[in-house]
Amino acid sequence: MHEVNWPALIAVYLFMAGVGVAAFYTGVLADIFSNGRYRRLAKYGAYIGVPMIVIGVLMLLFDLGKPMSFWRLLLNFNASSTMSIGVWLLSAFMVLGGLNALTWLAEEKFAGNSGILGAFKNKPGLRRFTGLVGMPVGLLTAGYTGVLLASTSSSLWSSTPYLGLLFLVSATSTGIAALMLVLAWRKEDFAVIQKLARADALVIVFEIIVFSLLLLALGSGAPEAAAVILKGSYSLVFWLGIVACGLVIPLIVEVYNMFSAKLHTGNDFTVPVVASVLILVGGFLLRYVFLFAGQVSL
Amino acid sequence: MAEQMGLLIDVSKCTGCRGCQVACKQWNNLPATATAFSGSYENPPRIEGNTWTRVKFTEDRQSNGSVRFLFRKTQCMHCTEASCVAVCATGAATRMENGTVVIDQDKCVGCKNCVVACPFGAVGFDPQTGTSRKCRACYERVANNMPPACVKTCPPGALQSGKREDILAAAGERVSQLKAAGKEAYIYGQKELGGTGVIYVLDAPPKVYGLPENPRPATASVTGNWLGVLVGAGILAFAPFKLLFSDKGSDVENSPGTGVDENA
Repeated sequence: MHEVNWPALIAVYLFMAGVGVAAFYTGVLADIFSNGRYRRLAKYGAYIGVPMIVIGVLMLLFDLGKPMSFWRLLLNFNASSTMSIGVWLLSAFMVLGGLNALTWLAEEKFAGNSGILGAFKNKPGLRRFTGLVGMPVGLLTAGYTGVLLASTSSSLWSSTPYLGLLFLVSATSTGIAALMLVLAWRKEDFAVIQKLARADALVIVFEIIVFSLLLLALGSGAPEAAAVILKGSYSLVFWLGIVACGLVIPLIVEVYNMFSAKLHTGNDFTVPVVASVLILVGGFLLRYVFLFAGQVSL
Repeated sequence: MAEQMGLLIDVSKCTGCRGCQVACKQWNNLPATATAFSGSYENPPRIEGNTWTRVKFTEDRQSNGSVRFLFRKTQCMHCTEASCVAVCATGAATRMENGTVVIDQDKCVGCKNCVVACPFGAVGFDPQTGTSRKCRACYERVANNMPPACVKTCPPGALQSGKREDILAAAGERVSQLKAAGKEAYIYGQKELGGTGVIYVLDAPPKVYGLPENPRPATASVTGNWLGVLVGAGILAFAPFKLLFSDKGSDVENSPGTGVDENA
């Protein structure tokens, strides 16, 4: 009945925020659990995460009715408002992630010893602290994008307790995919890509379980809302774009890759690249379809 | 707590003249909107940033084939558990001491969260002002002991304003009258969302009039969703990350860690 209040730009924001924070916490987690063996992932995660979040937040500001009044969001905290929590999560992430990225940039070849970057050279303590604190902030930010939609009167978004979880898991998959793409582009160690692909396969299995729980809960709690995505005008994008392209095909490709890699040791980047692109497309469509289908039922 | 204000809407007396819509636009200085004929005299088609009240027309087909033409004035319900107040990130949406819910136009930044949060679709975004706007129960008029503009103008006396307890008593009385006359009668708003400032007397079930039977605040599922996120974050940290990436002992480049990886 209502027109679209949150337009496609918001879907892009939800997608970019998810990719950004997930690439960051994936890198940090891989780094700390491996005692530094996957340190490069933490670096690339910071390089992907910070610009993604900054661009995403700029989109959010652009969508405001009064963009220049955005500072009012920073003068207030409302614990019952998911958006208010999100404002503070995003702000914290930009500061922590930004500092973390600077410690990496300072060690790049082009960075000198003087200037701003020089000040961030050899700061393992700062990097560790911003990584360890930024990681849970990132996880919560990924979940917040879903909880934000759930704190409305749209039956598709608010009838189940699974939307935040779905967005968190989906964001993780897209973040891992973004990392795989960067590694493939930089022609990095193929074994690391394989490791990420295996991690992603597990995340996709988790995502399929969460998705099924959400759809089952919707089917009993808000069947009209479920019908909009399962049978209505969004069903084609849902089944082809989200389910097939974003979940099933990448999972098959990644599992196939795990076994075929054992047979021959060729470093074929094509397979993980294809899987990553499909995951990113599916992740965007997931947000797009949910954003718009949810406003049909308002 | 200060005296809670109430507004009674007796749909059994409404003739669908839409005088309330005009009075609202005039008092609040809201522009007219250009609309197209939709097949019904219901107009404008929805509540928007510059249309804060409108009469909803319903054609209720009876089992004997006849049609009842039903009218219900719609606007902000001024909920005690107001979703707009709960989701507002700038503190613009507030519930005043007399129970009236208003959106402070200076504080609103136009994020539209309240527009999608309202269970009654009573908030609209106004591109002209860049803010979300809605019925404010003529807060200044009421503060000066005048009835809201819509109440003042209503020709058939379907609207009545006053203290909420008096309004509830009047609603109860009207329901008994209607029932005595052999009609259906319901009160809506007494308990919904903590009790709403607007009280309806309905002569058909709320659902027929397009009112949600069990409205929930927009934040009802937020705690559950955050719990899901926390559980999910814990699971993800363990599988895949801890499970796949912790390979202690096998060709670790750097020196052993400093105790960060003992428990996931």
